[in-house]
Amino acid sequence: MALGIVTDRFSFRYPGAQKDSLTAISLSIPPKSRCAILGPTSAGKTTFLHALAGSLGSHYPHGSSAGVITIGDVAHTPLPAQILFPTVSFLLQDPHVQMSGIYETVSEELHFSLSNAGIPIRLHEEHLDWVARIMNIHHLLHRNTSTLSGGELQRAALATVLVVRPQVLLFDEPTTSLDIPSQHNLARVMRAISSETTILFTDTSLDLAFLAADHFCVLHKSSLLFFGDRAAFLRELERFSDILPCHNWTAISRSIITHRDNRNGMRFARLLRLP
Amino acid sequence: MLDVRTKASLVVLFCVCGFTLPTPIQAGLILVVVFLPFLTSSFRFVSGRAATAYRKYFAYAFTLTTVLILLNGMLIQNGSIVQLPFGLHLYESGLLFGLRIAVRLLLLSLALLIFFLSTNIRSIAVELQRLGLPSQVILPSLLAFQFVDQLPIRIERIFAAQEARGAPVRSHMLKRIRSLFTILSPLVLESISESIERGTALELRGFRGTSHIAFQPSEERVTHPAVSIILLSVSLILVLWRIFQWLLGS
Amino acid sequence: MSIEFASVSFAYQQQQPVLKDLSLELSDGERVLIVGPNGAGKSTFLKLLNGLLKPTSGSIQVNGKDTRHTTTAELAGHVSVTFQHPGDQIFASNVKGELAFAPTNLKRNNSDQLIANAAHLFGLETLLDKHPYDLPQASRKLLTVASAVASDAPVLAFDEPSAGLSYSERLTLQEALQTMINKTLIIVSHDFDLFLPLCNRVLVLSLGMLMFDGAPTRFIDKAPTFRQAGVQLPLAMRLRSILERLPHS
Repeated sequence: MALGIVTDRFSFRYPGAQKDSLTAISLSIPPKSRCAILGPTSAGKTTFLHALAGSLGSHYPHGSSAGVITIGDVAHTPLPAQILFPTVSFLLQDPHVQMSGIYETVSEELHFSLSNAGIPIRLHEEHLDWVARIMNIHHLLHRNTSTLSGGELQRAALATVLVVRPQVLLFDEPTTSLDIPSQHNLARVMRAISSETTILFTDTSLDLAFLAADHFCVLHKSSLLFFGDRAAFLRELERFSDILPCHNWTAISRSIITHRDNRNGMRFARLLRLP
Repeated sequence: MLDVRTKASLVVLFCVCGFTLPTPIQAGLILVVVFLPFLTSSFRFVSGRAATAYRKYFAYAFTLTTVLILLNGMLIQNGSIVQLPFGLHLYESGLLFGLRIAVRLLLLSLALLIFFLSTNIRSIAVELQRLGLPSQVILPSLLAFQFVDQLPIRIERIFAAQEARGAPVRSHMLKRIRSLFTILSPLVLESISESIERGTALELRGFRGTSHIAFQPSEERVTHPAVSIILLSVSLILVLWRIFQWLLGS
Repeated sequence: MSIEFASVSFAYQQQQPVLKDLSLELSDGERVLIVGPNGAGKSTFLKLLNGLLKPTSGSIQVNGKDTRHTTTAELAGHVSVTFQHPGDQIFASNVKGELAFAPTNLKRNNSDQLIANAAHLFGLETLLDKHPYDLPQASRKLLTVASAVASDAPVLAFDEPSAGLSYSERLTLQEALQTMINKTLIIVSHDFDLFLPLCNRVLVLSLGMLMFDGAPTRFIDKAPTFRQAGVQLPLAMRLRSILERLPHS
C-alpha cells in the first residue's frame, strides 16, 4: 500500500557546513503519486531523498535539523534516524554499486534484498516472478551480474529495490546513463507500480518528469520554489527558465494553449494529462 | 574434483613448504604449482581473465626475482666472488641468499595466486560461512576478493583514459614507472569513492552487520574431510619439525 | 586534419563484430553527433579512433597516420578522446594539475595559456587549487571535458559528455563547445537537446552499421524511421516539432 509523504518546515545542515542543505521544506505528496524533484546541482535534491530513506539521519546523527517528516502515519521528528527499508526503497544513481558483490546472479541479488527485508522464503518466488514480469528480466535472472550490459544492469539494479514491493520508492538521477527508449521504459514501469508505491525521483532534464510524474517539486539553493501538479507546473514553467531546461516545454505549453480549440491541441493536452 | 577447503589446505601446505623445506625441493614444488591448472580441473582458471592475469604475473615475477637475486649478490659481500663480463662481480653468498628468498617468494605467491584464480568468490563465501564466520567478516572479505577480481578491468580502463591524454603508460620501463602515479591515484580514489557508495547501497537494501548472507545450495561435490585433515596435519608436522630443528640448532 | 575510416570492422576476439564495414570521412572543423542504442558500437568507434583498439579489418587514418601502426599516446596529440567515467582519469591533487596533464604529456609550448583558457571556458577558474574529489560529481565531469580542451588537440571526441550534468552545467558545456570553431568535434551522446543545435552532422549507428549520415534537420525528419533501431528523439523535441506544424485555428 503506497504511503503519502508530508514534510513540515523540514531543514537540515550537514555537520560543519556553513549553510543549510535544505531550508524549511513543506510539501505534501499524496500516496500513489509520482513526484519529480527538480533543480540544479546542490539544490538539495539528493539530500532530500536520503532524508526520506533514513540514510541521512543514520549517517549524520549530529547534523542540525528541524521540522517533521511524516511517512504514512509515522511522524519522524525531525527526520528518520534509521534506514526505512523495505518501507522506503532507494535506488542510487550508479547501477554498478547497486550490485552487492557478494552474489553472482541477478536472482541471488533479488533473494538477498528479500532476505534483508525479512520476507519469508516461501514468498520469495512470488516476489521474484512479479518483479521479473514488471521489469521484463526473466531472461536475466540466472545471468552473472558482471556480464550484464549497461541497460540490463540498470533494469537489474532497479529490480533489487523493487522486488520487496516498497511503499515508497526513491530514484536518484535514474536517467543519467539511460537512452531515450530506456527512459520510456522506466516511465512505463513507474506508471505500472504507482498504484501500490509512491514514487519520487530526481531529474536533470524534464523528459522523464513529463513522461512519468503527476507532481512536480522544484528545489533551488536548499529552498522549495514550487510544488504542485502537472498543470500548475506547466503554467509556472517559465519562471524556472534559469535553472531548468524549460525551453522546449515552454514552447509546447504555449502551443497547446494556442491550439486549445484544435483537435490536435486537445489531443496533446490529453497526452500531457492536462485538465 | 577438490572442494574449496581441500584446495585451501593444499595451498597452505605449499606455503608451509616454502618456509620449511630445502630450496631445491621448493623449486620443484614451484614447477608443480605452475602446472597445476593443466594437471587438474580443480585448479582450472575461473575465467579467461584469470588465465591472462596468471600469464602476466610470470613476466613480472621473473623480472622481480632476477632483480632480487642480483641485488643480494651485490650487497651481501661475503664468500667467493663470481666474475662477470666487463669487470663486474657478484658474491656467491649473496646470490645464494637471494636465490633462496626468491624461490620462497615465488612459491608462496604462485600458490596463493593459483588458489584465487581458480576459485570463484561465491565458493569462498560458502566455505567461510560453513566455518561459522560471521557476516561482518565474510562481507569485507568478499568485497576485497571482488575488488581484486575487478582490478584488471579497472586498470585497463584507467590505462585507456590516461593514454588517451598522451600518458606513456605502455612505453619503456622508465616512462611506465613515471606514469605509475597516474594509474594508481585514480585506482585508489575511485575505489574509495565507489566503496562508500556501495556501502550506502547495501545499507539502503537493508543489509546490516548482523544480516545473514544466504547462499543457494551448491552443487559442488565435497571432498572427503580426511583429505584436508591429512594435508593440514602434514603442514603442522613440517612446522613442528622445523621448530624442533631450530631448537636443536640453538 | 582529416579522419578516414575505410571499410573498418571490429570484433572483440571471436565474438560477433561490433562494427561492420564502416566507411566515412570527417573533415576539419566538422561537428559530428554519433547516436545509437546501447551496444551499437559508439564507444568502440571512439576507441578505434585513438588507436586503443586496432581494426580487425580495414584501416583508419588520422591526419595521415594509420592507427594500426601508431600508439595511442602518439595519436593523443591529434585526437583527444574523453571517456564516460571521470573516476578513470582524475589523479591530480588539484584541478590545475588535472588540466595540466595533457598539455604536459603532449609537450605543448603554451601550457599555461591552454590551462587558463580551459579553466575559463568551464568556470573552473576559482577552483584551480581545489582537490577534484572536493567538487560535486557534475563538476568532475566538466573537469574531464576541460582537460581534453586543454590538450589543444585538433580533434576532440567525447563519450556522453553531458551525462549527469544539471541544466546550468549543460549550458556551460554547450557554450564552451560552441566557441571551438577551429576544432573538429565528435560527440557520442543521446542528449539531442544539447547537441543537435551544436552539430552539423549526425551519424546513426545501429548493430555496428552506419544507418544514417547527414545533416541534423534531415535526421530529425527521418527520426521516426530509426525507432526500430532503438534511436528516438526526446519527447519534448517530438511534441514540439509536431505542434509547430499544426495549422493555427
